[in-house]
Amino acid sequence: MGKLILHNIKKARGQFISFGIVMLITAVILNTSLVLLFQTGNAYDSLFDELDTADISVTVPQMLSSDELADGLSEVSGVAAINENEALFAAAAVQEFQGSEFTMNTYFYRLEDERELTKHTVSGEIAADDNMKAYIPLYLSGFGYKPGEKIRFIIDGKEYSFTIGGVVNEMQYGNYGTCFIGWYLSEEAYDALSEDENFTSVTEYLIKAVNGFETSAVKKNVSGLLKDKNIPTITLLDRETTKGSRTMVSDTIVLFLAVFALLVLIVSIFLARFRIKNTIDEEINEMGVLKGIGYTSSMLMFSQVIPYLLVCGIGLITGVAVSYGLIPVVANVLAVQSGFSYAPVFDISAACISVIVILAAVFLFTVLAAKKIKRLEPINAIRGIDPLKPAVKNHFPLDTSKGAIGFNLILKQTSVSMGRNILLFAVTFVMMILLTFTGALLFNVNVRPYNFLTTLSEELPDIRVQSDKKHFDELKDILDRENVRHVNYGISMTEYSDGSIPVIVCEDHSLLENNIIYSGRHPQAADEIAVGSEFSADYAIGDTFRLSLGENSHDYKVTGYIQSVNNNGLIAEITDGGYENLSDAPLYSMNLYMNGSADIESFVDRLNSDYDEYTVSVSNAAKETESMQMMYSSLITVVAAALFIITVLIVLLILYVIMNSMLTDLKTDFGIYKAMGFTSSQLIIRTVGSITPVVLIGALFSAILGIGYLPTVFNGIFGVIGAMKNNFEIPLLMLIVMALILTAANIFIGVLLCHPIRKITAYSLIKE
Amino acid sequence: MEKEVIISAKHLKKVFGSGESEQVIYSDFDIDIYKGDFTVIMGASGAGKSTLMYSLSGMDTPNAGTIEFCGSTITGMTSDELAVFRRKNCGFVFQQIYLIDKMNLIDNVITAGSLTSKNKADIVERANSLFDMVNIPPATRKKLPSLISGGEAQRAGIVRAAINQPSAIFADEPTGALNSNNSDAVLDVFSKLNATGQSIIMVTHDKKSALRGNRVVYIKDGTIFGDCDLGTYSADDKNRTKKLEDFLKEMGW
Repeated sequence: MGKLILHNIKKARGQFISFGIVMLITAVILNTSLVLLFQTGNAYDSLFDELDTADISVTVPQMLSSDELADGLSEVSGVAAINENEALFAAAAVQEFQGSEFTMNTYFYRLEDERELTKHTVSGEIAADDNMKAYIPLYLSGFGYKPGEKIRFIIDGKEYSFTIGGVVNEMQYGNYGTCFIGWYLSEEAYDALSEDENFTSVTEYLIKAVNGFETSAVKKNVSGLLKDKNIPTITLLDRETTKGSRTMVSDTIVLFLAVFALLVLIVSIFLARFRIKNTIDEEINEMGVLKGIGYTSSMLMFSQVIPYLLVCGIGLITGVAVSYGLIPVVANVLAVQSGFSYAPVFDISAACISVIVILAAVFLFTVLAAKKIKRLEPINAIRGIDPLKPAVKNHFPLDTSKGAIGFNLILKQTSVSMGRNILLFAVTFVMMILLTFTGALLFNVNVRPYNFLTTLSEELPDIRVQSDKKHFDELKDILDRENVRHVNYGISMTEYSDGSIPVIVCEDHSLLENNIIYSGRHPQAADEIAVGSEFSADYAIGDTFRLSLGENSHDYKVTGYIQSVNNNGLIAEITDGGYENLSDAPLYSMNLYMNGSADIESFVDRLNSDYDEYTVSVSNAAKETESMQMMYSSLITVVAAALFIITVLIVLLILYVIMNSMLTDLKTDFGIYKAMGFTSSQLIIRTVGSITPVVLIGALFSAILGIGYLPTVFNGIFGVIGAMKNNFEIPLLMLIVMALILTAANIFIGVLLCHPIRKITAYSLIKE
Repeated sequence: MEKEVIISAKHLKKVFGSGESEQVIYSDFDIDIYKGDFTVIMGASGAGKSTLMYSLSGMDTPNAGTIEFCGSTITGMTSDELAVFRRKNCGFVFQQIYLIDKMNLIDNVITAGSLTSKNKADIVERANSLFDMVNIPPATRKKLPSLISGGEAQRAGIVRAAINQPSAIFADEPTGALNSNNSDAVLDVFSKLNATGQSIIMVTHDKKSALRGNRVVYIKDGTIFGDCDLGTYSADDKNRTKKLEDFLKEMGW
C-alpha cells in the first residue's frame, strides 16, 4: 500500500503542495493566536506576581490622605498588606504622539521611591547628564519614544520637556487601558513638578488582598470605607479590572486571528473532501482494477486518505514551527497595546490543538469522503460505473435553451460538478466574510474615521475650553459673536456605591454630535441619569442610581445606557441641573464646534492670545482626535493588509487545486474541443467563465448577507471593549464592489491557472 | 476532367524520438488528396497511416515539408491558427468516438456547429437533417453518449464531423470498435456523405471499409507503396472487391 500512497502523492503533487501550504498557513495563524491566547494572561499574572503588584490600587488627593485612612484601609476585611506612595497627577498632552498630541491622565512617580508593592523594572536605561529624566511606560516607547530622546507634554499651555531615561515595565499603569498611565521621574524632575500648580499631589494606597479573598469583594469593602469617610477617589482599580482593561485590545486581535484560522480550516476541509471525491471519479477504472487484483476497500480508502494526512501533518507541524518565528513579532506588536512584554515559549497545548485536533478533523472528513470506495463493485468500477454518482444530466440543452450557444456552453460546464460548485461557493463565501470584515473596518477607520472614533469616544468636539466662574458667561458671549457653536460639557469624577466614576455633565445631551446612548434615552431632568454599559446588568432603566461628590449625594433615576470604550463602560451622564444636586459650582467647561472650513488651530491660538483672560485652558480636541485616528488606522491598516494578502494567497492556492482538478477532469474534452476547432483562448474563457457565476453568486451572497451579519460581528467585537452601539457604516455598494473585486481576482487567477490548456493538443487525444 | 487537389503535401518528414531512439515514420513524402474523393489509407500496423492523416489535417506537425490545404499552407501555422483552420476545413471521426460525455448527441453536434455559425436555428436544422441522414431518431439525439450503442455514437460522431460542411472529413479507423452491423451502418453514412461530394480521408485496416473508397493509398516503409483507383463505390460491384484484394496482395497485405 505504501507504493500506492506514494503513487497517489506523486500523481497530484501540485495539488498536495497547495493543500499543504493552506494547512501551513492555518497552523501558523492558529498556533500564533493560541499561544498568545494561552500565554498572555498567564504572563500577565506571573509578571504581576513577580513585581508584587497590588491587588487593589486607590488614589486620593493627598490633602485627604492621613494615617487614620491608612489604618482604616489596613483593617478592611480581606486586606493583607498596604503600601503608601506619593505621586503627582495631571492630564498631560503628550506631544509628537503619532504626529499629533494625545492627552492622558497621568500619574508621575519618583523612580527612586522604595516600593513594597507594585514594583517595576527599567530597561534601556541611559546614563544622561540631564537630571530632568522621565522613565516612560512600554506603551509610549512602542509609539516611537526612545531612551535618550526628548519627550514633551503640555498642561494648560505650559510645556514640559524631559530626557527619556529608560522604559518602565510595571503591571498597573503600563498602558492606557485603564484610562490612566504611569510615568516615573528622576528625583530632580519629580521635585520640579511637585512645585508646579498644574500637578495635583496624590496619595496612592496599594493593597494586597488576603490569599483566597476575591479582589472585587475587597475593592467593595475599600470603596465602602472611603465612602463612609467622604473621601473621593481618583482611581480605584482591582487586579481583574486592570488586567481586563490592559489586555482587551490584544485579546480581541488574538481572538480575531483564531477565528480567521478556523475559517481557513473549514475551507481546507472542504478542499480535501472535494479532492478525494474528485479523485474517486477520475480514477474509478483504476480502482476497479486494483480491487479486481485483490486490494481491499480499506487499502484503497487509506491510500487516498493517508496522503492528505501526511501532507496535512507536515503542513501543520511546519506551520507550528514557522509560527514560533512569527509569535515574537506579533507579541511585540501586542505588547505595545497591552503595555507589557514577555517572551512566549513553546506551548504544547496550542501545538496539540493546531496539529492533532486539525489532523483528526481532516481524517474524519476525508474518511467520510473516501467511504464511497467501499461501495464500488470492481467490475462496475472498471467499466467506469459509479452507482452512487448521480446520473449525468444534459443541463442547458443547446437546441432549446435561450441565449447564445457560447453562453449556454459556459452554463453547461458550470452545472457539471455540484461538488466543485459547492466548494467554490464555500471558499468564496468564507473569503468574502474576511474581505468584507477587513474592508468595512478599513472603510470606517480610513474613509469615514468619524464613525470609528465616535464608536470609541464619547464626544468629539473641535476644541475643549475650561473657564472660571467669573468669565464663563462672558466667554460664551464672545463665542456667540465669533459665531462658534458651544455646549456646556465637562467631566467630573464622582463616587458610586463601588468606587469612582467619571460623569459627563452637559446642559443638553441632544446638542452633542455623538449619541452614545445605546438603549433608553439621555437624561433630561435634574434627577435623571444615563449609566455606562458596565451598570446595565445591575441597574434597570427606572432604577435609582446614587452619585456622591464630596459630602453631597443624590439619587438619580436611570433613563438609559451609554457606551464608553475609554472608560470600559464605567461612566454616567447627567444634566447641568443634575450636577447642581452634587455641587454648587458648575464645571465652567464647554465644547466648541467649528464650521467645517474653519481653521481650528488659528482659533485655538486666538483663544489663547486674544481671550486668554477668559480661559483657564484651551485644547485642540480635533488634533487629539486626529492623532487617535492615526494611531488606530496604522495598526488596523497593517492588520487588514496582512489579512487581505493571506486571503488572496489562500484563494490562489484553493483555486489552483480546483482548476487543476478541473483540467485533469476535462483533459479529454479539451482535446475533443481542440479537434473541433476551438482555440485555447476560447477554452480558457469558457473554463474560467464556468466558475465565475458560482464565485460571483457566492461573493454577492456573502456581501449582501454582510449587511445583516457585519453589524452583529462588529457589535460583538466592539461590545467586548465596551462599544455596545458601533457607528460603523457598511455601505452595500462597498460590499458589492468588494464582491466584484474578488470575482475579478478569481477570473485573473483562473486565467493564469488555465495556462496548461494551451499545452493540451487535439493530437494528444490519439497519442494517449 | 482533371480532379481538383485539396491537400498537397510535399517532402513531408515525420520523426518520433531523438538520438538513438529516433524512429523515422516517413521522409520526403509527397501526396495529393483530391476534392470529392473517398481516400483510404492502408498499411501495416506502425506504418504511419494515422500519423500521416493527422499531419495532413493539421492536427499533428510534421518535422519537415509543406502541406497546402485548400490554398492555405498549414505547416507553420500556430496552434490557434490551426484550430481556426480546422473548424472550417476539417471534420474528425475517431475510433474511440470521443463525444463529450456530459452532453447529449445534438448538443455535441451544435457545439461543433457553433464554431462556424452564430445562427442557432440554422445549426439545429442542419444537425437534424444530418441526424436524419444517419438514421438517428429524434429521441436518441436527446440522449447522452453513455446511453446509446457504439454504432449510434459513431454515427453521431460523423454528424458532428460533417456539421460545418468541412473541406474534408478525416476518419481514423471509424469502425475499429464496432460490430459488423454497426460497421456497415457507419460505412453507409460515409458513402452517403461522399456521394454528396464530401471529401473523406479514412485510415483503416479493414478491407470492407476500404472498399467504400474510390482510392486506396498503401503506405509502407515511409512511402506510398501503392495507389489504387477503385472507382466510384457501388455495393453490387464485385470487381471492386477483387481489384482491392489483388492490390492488397500485391502490397504484401
